Amino acid sequence: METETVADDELVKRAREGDLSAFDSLVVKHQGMISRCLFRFCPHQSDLEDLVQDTFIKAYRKLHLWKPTAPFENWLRRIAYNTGHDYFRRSKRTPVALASLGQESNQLELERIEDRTNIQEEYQLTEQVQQLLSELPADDRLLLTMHYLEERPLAEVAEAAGWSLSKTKVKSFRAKKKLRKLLNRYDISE
Amino acid sequence: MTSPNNNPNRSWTEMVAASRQEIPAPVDVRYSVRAELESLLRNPRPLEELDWTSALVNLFSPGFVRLGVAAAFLCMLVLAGNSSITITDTEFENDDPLVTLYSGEGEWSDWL
Repeated sequence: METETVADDELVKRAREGDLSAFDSLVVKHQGMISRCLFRFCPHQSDLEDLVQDTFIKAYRKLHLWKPTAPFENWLRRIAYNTGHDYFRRSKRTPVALASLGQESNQLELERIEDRTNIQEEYQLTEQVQQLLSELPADDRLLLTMHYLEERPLAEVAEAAGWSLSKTKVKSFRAKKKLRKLLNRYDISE
Repeated sequence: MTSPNNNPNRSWTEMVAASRQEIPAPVDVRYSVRAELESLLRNPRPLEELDWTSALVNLFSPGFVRLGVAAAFLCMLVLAGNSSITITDTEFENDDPLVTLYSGEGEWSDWL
């Protein structure tokens, strides 16, 4: 298959010249990685596909900005995290429906989660983690998702969010404090 | 709750560790991306869409704020350098007709 033999920079060069099939090859090559990154932000299949699609559309529109000095995959991943960050900003804070994880259970809330058409049973933990994080501001949510869930280094979080490293470290410290308070509120141990 | 993942006593660390085992179903967005790109090429929009709300928010970003403060400070210095206050001498000494009239070497009793 062409994507296995042609390097990213060659495909990007062709895509810049207007060859859409070259860009198709980039999509096929990297969509798995992008969907795994964005899954932590949004486990719902239809929303996830939208986010992955948005990431590639943004990448196409900014293709002229990519320089071969850094791997294309890293650049694309940063766009994906930005897309995830925007998704968090757009999402309204929802009341946490994590009563099942605390001492008391709220059956109606649990049914609300289970009734969501796109959520599959095996993704419910990711959903529940994000439900909890949705109580935090978008910046903290991004930081905790990338650093905690994706296990990305803080330098990468800084680059994705456009922050300095020192600012990211301070934000990380504060985000963890807020998370601890949230966990205490719902009687969830660390 | 029917999910086997539900465990009311699960700690946050355990939740996170277990959620990492969840892997998304494969997605294939090449056709939808291609359709969107073809539509974009048929109806070209500027590469960087003008988004006035983002532009407005960017005005308050630290860089712009610093620039604005520096510009304001510079203007203050320029205005301070160019401004001057002229104090007009309103005390007549030589132009007051009464003073003129009565200045001189006459005796003070002459004024009475």
